[in-house]
Amino acid sequence: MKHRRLFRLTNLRRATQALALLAFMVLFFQMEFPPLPMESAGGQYTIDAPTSLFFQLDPLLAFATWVAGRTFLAAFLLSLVVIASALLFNRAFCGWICPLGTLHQLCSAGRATGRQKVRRGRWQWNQKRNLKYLVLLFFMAGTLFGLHQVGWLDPLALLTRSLAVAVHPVLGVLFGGVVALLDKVGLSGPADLAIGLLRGRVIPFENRFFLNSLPIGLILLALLALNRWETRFWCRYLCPLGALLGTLARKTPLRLEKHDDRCTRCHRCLLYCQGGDQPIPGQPWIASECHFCGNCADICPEAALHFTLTRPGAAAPERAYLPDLDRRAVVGAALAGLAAAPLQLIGAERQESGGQVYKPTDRLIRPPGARAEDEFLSRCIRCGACMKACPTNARHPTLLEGGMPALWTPLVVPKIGYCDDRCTLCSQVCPTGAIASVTQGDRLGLDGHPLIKIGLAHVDRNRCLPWAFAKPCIVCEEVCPSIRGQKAIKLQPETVTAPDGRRVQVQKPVIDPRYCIGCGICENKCPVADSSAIVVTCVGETRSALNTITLPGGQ
Amino acid sequence: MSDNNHPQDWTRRQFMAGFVLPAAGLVITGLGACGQDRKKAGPDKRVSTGLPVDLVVAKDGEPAALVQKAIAELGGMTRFVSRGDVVVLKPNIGFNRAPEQAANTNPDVVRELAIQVLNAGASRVVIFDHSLYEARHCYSRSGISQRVQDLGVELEYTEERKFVDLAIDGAWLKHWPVYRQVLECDKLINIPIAKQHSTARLSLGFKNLMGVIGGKRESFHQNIHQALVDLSAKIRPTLTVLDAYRVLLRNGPQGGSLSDVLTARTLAASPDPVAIDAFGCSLFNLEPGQMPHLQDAQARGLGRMNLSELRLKTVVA
Repeated sequence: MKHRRLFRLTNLRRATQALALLAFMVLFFQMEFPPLPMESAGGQYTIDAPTSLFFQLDPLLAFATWVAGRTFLAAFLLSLVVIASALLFNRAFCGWICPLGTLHQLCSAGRATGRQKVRRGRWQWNQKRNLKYLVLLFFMAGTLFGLHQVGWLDPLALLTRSLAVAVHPVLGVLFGGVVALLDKVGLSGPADLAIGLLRGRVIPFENRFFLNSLPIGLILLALLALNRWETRFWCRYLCPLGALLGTLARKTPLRLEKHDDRCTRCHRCLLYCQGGDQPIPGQPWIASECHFCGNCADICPEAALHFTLTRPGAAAPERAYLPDLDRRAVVGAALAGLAAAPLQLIGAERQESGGQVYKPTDRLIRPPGARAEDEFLSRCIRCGACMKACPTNARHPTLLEGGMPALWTPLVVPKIGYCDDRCTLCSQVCPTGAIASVTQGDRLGLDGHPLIKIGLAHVDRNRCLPWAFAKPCIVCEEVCPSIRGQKAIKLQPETVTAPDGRRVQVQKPVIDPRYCIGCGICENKCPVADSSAIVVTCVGETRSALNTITLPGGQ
Repeated sequence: MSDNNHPQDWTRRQFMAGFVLPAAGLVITGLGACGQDRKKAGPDKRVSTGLPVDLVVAKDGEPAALVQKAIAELGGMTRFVSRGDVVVLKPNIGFNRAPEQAANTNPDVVRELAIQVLNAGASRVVIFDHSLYEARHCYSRSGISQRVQDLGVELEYTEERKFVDLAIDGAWLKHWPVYRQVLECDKLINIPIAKQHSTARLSLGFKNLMGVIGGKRESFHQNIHQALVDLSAKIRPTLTVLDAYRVLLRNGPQGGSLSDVLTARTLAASPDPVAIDAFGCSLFNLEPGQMPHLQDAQARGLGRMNLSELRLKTVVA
């Protein structure tokens, strides 16, 4: 084997990938209750790390949020860096930075060696890879209607969501198993040490459970498994961000110089190529697919391939400025996107700001600070950061609770986790302000802010222990936070006849809607285990003018 | 070099060194460690001391001074804590509330007690509460994590795996999961804060012990007085220190509004949990007899509730 230089473009790329993945994971784990005590008691806890950094780098999320949300979020100007990188170095973001891309690359590892060979034909560019451009068009068409569904497939949103909802909880369960095993064999010391180091940092503080984690986890697994079929399957066929960057790369000054005279057709460039952009001499190089990973030039034993930069726009003989899309497919995808949007919206009946009908699902409780539903949906990128950050495990990805347009947006499920009356962590990590930035004071209605309500508690008198069974219980009142000096749950003492005929004194809980913020701790702690005798529904939420039980101001 | 990596090519010596020895080591340490724990004394942590007084009430001082005065009047912390002891401090850290809101034990009371216990020679000091609200919120907001972090004590978040099923054999409770640290420690100091509560009427020392148990604690409220007595008959603290620097008069147990808080600048300490709760009643202008659990507790020999029969000493800090 010939001597290899230490400094190679590919080594620099690998180091960058490793650093980017590490940074992504560190920021992911920072979406958490801050581990250090606050400076002073009673203060506000803040997540200082720039947890939205990767989202802000993403031009796809930037465009979609700007267009769908009809709002200009300056932080997303950071995506200009990635846009510039695409104009100069094609899909270098995919090859050098994207953490999902790196995971795909890792899962593809080893395919180029051994028995897998060129004859299978999966190393050649093929027309089906244009699918990702159609995916991009489909979702971008939807943004014109205020639908922000590109987060379903945006690689950064998809990865964060999958990690938050599926991988992180699994880590906790596995870790719990190891700790239990250590306990069993008497190694409680190491177990305690591991917990002290990792709990609340890498391992969930308490075991977490998320609704709909199964489909989300399986999608990630399936996407990773597809790499065994074809290297970076996701990046080549599906990724809408890759498609956007590929489109930007049309006028790239980057050249792959091919020396056909030196090429022995060993095909190693094809085997190691990440983007599948036909680096082999004798075929046109497809610039818009190239991740600029540098593998082809690096691996070529005959030094037949070199990357060079030329004047922008200068033509070169062996280069194809694809995407070379079928016009019918393009029009079809755009029309499908345009048609799908109103179709989804008809089903949702959610338009509020236009004064139209608003028929929310009763349990569609949104986090405090969430904007009015249509505005919320036009901003939420479904990244799941709020679900990761929520210390009480209260935020969950929806399935169809909010209709198809709302798939995988955050839902508060009080039965699983209550929403702490002073916590603002979800609003702190939301990258697009779908959950508007709120402070503790805002939540509590201090400093002239209206009290933020996310719902209203209702006592189910047929299940409540004092109401239905003449049994003493006050748990909901006990845990009810006092807001503006009053608990929303009040107890009414009453002497009632028990089912066995005895006269007993009980305290019956009743709700004062003026003080209920819908935090759901009553539902969470209610001792009626299966279906709580007090439940929160979203009626009365501050963000909606229509979802009320009385006229505005009447409650 | 790749050929040497296959397991089937291992020599016997490699196999012994790489697999059998570590495995044997693991099994031996496992077996060895298994035999150690679980033998420690039960949750009765009382010490018999010829105390000069039964109950000390310190008044009109700042939290740390109140603690110093009260403990000094009881004869000093060394009466309760011996050199090398593992001591658990059990304050109330149940709520996401700041010290001024009087839902959690005053952080300076906890700090001063931790210092005194350390000075008495304790080898380890463990502070925890099985919080009702999310623990990190409570520990931070209560100010307790900030006030004890420089002392070298262990402020511990509870873990599900550390709850051990304990036979209670009470009138109502038969067995219940109790936190392992409480079972294994040498001394237990219960540090409640005085608060109003809608079934227990008041949340004092007995009620604060609900923070050392796991399980479905919500069910206690269906028979709260009996549950508290059953629990307290089994888990008997070395010392109870009632923080009444601030008292939560209404909207207990977590309050949230300063208008519900009375700054009483008072603290009581006694090894007798019944006496502490009986004194606590007076802060709310209640008679001990109005608290059903105290009558029952006295009948079961857990302590004395008639303050006039006790050697009560009031000091000004």
